[in-house]
Amino acid sequence: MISVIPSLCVFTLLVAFIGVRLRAVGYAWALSATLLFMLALQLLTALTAASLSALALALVLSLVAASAGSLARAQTARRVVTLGASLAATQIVSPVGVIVTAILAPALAFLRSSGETRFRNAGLLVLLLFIPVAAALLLAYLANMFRFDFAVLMNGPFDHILSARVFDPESPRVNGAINALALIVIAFPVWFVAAFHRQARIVATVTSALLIAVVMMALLQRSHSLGAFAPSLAGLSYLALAEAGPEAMLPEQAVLFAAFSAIVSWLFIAVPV
Amino acid sequence: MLVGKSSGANACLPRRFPVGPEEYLADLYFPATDGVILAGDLTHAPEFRERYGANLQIAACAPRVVLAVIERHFRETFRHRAVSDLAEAEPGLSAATVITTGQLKVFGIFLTVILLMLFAVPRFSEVALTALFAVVFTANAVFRAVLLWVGEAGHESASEASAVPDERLPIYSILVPLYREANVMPALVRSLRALDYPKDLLDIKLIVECDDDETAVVADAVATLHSCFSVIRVPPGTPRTKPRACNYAMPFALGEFTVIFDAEDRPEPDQLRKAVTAFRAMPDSVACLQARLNFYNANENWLTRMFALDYALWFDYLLPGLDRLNIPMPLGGTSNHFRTEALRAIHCWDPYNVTEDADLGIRLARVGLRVRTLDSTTFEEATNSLGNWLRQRSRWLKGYMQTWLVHMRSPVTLVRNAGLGGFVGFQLFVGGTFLSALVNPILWAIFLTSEIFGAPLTGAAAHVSILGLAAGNSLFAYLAMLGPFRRGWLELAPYGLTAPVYWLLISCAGARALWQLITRPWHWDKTAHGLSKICGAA
Repeated sequence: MISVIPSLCVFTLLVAFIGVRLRAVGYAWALSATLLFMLALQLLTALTAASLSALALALVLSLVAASAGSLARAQTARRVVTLGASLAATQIVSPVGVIVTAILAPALAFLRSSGETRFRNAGLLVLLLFIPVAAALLLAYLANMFRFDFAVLMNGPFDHILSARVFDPESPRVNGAINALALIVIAFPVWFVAAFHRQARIVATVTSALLIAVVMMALLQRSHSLGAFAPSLAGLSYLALAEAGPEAMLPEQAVLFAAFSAIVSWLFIAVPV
Repeated sequence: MLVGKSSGANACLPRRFPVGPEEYLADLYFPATDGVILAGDLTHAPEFRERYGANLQIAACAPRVVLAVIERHFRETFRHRAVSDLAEAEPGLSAATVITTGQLKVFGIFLTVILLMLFAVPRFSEVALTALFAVVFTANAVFRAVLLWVGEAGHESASEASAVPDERLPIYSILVPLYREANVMPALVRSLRALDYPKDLLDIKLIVECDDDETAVVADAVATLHSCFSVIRVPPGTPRTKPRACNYAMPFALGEFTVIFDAEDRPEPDQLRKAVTAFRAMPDSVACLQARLNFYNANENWLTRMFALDYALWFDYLLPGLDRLNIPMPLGGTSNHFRTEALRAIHCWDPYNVTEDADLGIRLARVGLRVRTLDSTTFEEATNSLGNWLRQRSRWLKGYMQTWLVHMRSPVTLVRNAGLGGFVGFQLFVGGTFLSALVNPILWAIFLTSEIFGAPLTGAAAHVSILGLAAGNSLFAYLAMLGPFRRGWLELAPYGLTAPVYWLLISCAGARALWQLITRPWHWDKTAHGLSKICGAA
């Protein structure tokens, strides 16, 4: 029960955050409510509502994508701090966060690189990495001095139902590769929206970083179940819709994308082979 | 006001004329010989004749000539007022007294309690003291982080420079205190003449100390060539400080608004127009506008880069943050634009305070007047040598100590004047700035002695010190890196990583400041200018 309450809180925060983003860009109340209902369903379908770390990763990756999008639109100190703090949070909630940060920070800093701005971009990179590095050092200090492990707080008694399809328990590498392929399919709305709308490309960059991180974790023999990342893709998919804005597509299209993502996610995760 | 008797400096005044300088300054005239007056403003001619008789002869002259005559005649009066005006009118707000007996007693009790605790419960005391130092060090950094966050959204008095048409522009006084700065005069004159403001409405006072003949010769030559410049020689006296020189010149300021610039300043050309527009758009309670400062030689060496990061953070984020939170704002050294009457009403600057600008900002807040920030930059020369930087920084920290001591003479009154938020902000910003500089080396010492040399300190104290150092230094470094963001100088950001080294230098300056506060409280460590190889474009 103790683990369920924080999970529910993070679940609510994630849904609320996506809701705020959808409303902020002008999605109508009815459409926003429909999309949020489907997001909630997708998260629950993935049977991960009880997993704090999976939901927390989804929340912080949504924050990363949203703040990266804001920073790309206009560079301000506040937005750099928000993005740096979000990247630091990914490391705290999941081991993939380190890899995601290592991929995303340079990608975002040098996204529009040119010879003249190379030094400026290097400065931006240092700024983006500062909070994540400081957070990593703090976690290392706490672990060394006080045997404090944040990951333990993230684990709950219901993690075993995190579905979990582990495709090939004997081979983490194969499992990781299949997971990544499945995730690519689940994230279809992200790719589709990003292909037609520039605003959603930052979300696609974050999604790509997550997928690369999943593959790299598999290569490092640290495979995770699909359910650990499905909520993140759900969050990112809806965020891509929000970034593209209501003018980007018809309401039916938006609902269709959301439904597709939810059904594919459910198929991959919940249906027994 | 009319003369009944005449004595002292005023003995040569013709009968029936005022004895004090106020009326002469207000109406810009002075009696030359019997029946003749010099007048700088002929619109008052009918009043003069009504007052002094229809046969009065009026000789029209340039206002600066009349002012020079008044200055010469009342030199002693002005000299006395420049030093004593605030101390006599508001002795409780003057730094002429460094520390009061009451404050000494409080510090004495505080130190005694600490010593007793260290003897009685040494283990607990060393942890508690280390924690206190860590909190003091970190609190200043945290408060700065809050100000940065708030300051980014700060609504500055950004204004259209051309919003006020030329015919509605008022006279603008510019005070430029100079001391042994003949070498920077050509650049100064270029940048002041580059100001986009009608020259006949500029009243530029070059304020030169009486023993500085070299600067005076150049200043006189400038005043001869350009009618908007005039030279004021400050008679000898103590304390020999910049605020004393400015106070001496203030009675002769003709402008509705007054700004102070340093000799090496390069204000953006539209700064005065922006200030006028902003003042016009704001209520009279806004008595001062602080323009942003930064450096034209930021990229000269490590020290100038760090200084530029420091200034960018201070003026682009922290001061707008204070503005937004309505916390008393310590003014920066130059480019403070005032409503002249408001400045005179609070007795101008404290000549005994070596950061008279910071003190003035707090005093303005205490009488219910506001300081806002102005979206215009003045570029200065960053000190590029360690010795010069150390002298300047220790003067600033000493001035902050003076300011804190002055305004903490009666904390309850300060709360009443500035509000609880203003009081807390004052503690964190003014008190926190010099206290964090002083406790930083103590934290390092505790950490190094317990971790490396195995001194008999508890492990807990070492942990607290390292956490305090890590938290404080990380925040200071990160804030330094974020400082140049608004200007887009991101290439400077990586240098912010060296902020802990910079803060150790600030601590050296803090120790020197504390020593000077005890031994030479009013000594003005002059910062040498004109040393940079990089010239700011006027």
